[in-house]
Amino acid sequence: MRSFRRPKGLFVITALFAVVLSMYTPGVYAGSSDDTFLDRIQYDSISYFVREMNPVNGLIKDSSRPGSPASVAVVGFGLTAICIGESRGWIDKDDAYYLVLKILKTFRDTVQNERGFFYHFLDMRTGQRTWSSEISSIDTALFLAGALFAGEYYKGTEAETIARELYERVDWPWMLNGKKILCMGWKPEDGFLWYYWDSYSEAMILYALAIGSPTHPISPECWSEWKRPVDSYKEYKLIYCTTGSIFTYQYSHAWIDFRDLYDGDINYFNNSVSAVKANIQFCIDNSTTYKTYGENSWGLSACIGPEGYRGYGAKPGAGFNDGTITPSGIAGSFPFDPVASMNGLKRLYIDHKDFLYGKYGFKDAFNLDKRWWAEEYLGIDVGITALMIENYRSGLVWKKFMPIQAVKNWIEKTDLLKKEIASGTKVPSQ
Amino acid sequence: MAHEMHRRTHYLVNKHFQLKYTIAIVITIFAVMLVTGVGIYVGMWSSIIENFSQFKVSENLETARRIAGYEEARYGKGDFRLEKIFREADLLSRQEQTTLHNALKSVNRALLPKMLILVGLIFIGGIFVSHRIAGPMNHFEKSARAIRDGDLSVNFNIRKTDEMKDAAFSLEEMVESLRKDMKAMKVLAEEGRAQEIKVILSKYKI
Repeated sequence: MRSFRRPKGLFVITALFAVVLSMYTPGVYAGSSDDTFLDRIQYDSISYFVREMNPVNGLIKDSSRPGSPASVAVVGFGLTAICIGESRGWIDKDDAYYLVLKILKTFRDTVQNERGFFYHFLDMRTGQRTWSSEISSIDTALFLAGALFAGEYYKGTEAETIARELYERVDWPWMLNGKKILCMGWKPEDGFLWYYWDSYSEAMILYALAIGSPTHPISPECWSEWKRPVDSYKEYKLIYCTTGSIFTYQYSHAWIDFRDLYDGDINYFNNSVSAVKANIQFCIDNSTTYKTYGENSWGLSACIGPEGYRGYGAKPGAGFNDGTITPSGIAGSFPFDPVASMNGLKRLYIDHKDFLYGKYGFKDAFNLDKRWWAEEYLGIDVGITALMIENYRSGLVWKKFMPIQAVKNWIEKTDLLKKEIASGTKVPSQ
Repeated sequence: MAHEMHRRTHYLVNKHFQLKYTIAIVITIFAVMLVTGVGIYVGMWSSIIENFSQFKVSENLETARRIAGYEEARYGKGDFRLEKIFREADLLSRQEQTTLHNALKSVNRALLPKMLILVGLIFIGGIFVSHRIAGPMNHFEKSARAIRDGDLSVNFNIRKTDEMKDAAFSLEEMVESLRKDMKAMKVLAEEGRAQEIKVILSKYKI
């Protein structure tokens, strides 16, 4: 384990971490064990959050592209990823805590907020709203999930106090805008957006945090207000997200362990398992149309494509397709289908590593039909990769997040532990 | 008629003195203009060069495109390319307005302390320079009152750095002449030589 005297500045920490990273990068070669392979991917993915961080204030870029603003959701993933890096001995304990505390203090003291909610994009230097972005409910929730996780990871410290303070100051009922479903956002110029989280999506974690709030909770009835549309693709029946993007079946699960939770007869973990299988089947079925798709090349999700960022997705749902695959769609599915995920990532690595693998792990996407490979990394995509692989390997994020009082409040208020109501759906074990 | 007699026909009555202070005022105004003008020009241009370079504009175009893509993916809008172009243009335009607004704000913020320092310096300089005139004037006033009360022992000497040296010299000559005449008349009066006193007094016009 590397240990060095705690430096005074984050510049020094970042520089030293970069040096250590380059010295300690686990190697991957033909015949590497699964653990070595996953070590490498996680290690490289986590390094994104340290290297793409502004060392002065802890804000993290939305993407590795020059000029990218900071994204509050990416910082949420980053807070969690830094703790994972510390737990695996890749970041010195004191340094990891220092980074976490720096981020949390910046969000408490500097970052612009409205009733506790944060703007989607922030200026990397000042922490103020940029690109006329909206106060975003889901991005705030993803940040808070990371903050609460980090608070729990460093229980009993100042980090926990600040994380709780950030969470408890959020005025969740305000985001309802007088309705029973949460709005997607608000702009000072236009007021509330026209769009609401009114159907199954990645927003389960948003509702969980809003219902579980000890200071400004929304009514538990709101949990049952959003639609749960059911459809099938081949033999896989599931509650689906209209975009069909696989990330919508992953983000809430990055922090919440849904395996033992039952919403009536619905188990959302099993639902995601079905979504992953449907996604794989969809790619197999369309492999003749698109060269990129196949048994080990799946995971249709919103990502960068040859013509910009698109909401790619499979069926059920109305996701767009042009042959683009994001490796994060596969990596984020590890807890749901470890075998398919491992096979998929290994195949992508072996076949395309020269174009597709770089300093932060897998680049965002590729498209063989259009002979296109992304040059950049997206923070949320390397984030879901690092978190879901960790949940598959040790369950660390779930273990730390589930005992948080806010999560317990949400589970209790929405009766998610009433197993007797459940239809007996098999809960997959790892 | 009296008004006609006091009308000034020459405004440059003390060329050296007047030019010196006119130049001082011009330099002060120029310094203020220089600090504000150069500050705004350099500050704005450095911001514009930084924020509107080809590289930065290209980055901003890509960011606008990316954010429009995020919005489309999140809000589930259709693939209306034309609408997307308008949205990208709107995002870019708003961002550039914000950039310019921030540049102006930062230039103003940078100028404010400089201007305060400059005003402070001008104030101190003003006190220091005006003291060179106010000092002799005060001295002249006190000396004139003393002469009025019959004290001819006063002088009109001033510091080397003070202004109005010519006036001081003339006044000193005046009081010296008065002292000399009064001293002479005093001796002549004691000796009862009234005729000679009259001669001395004859040069005074009353």
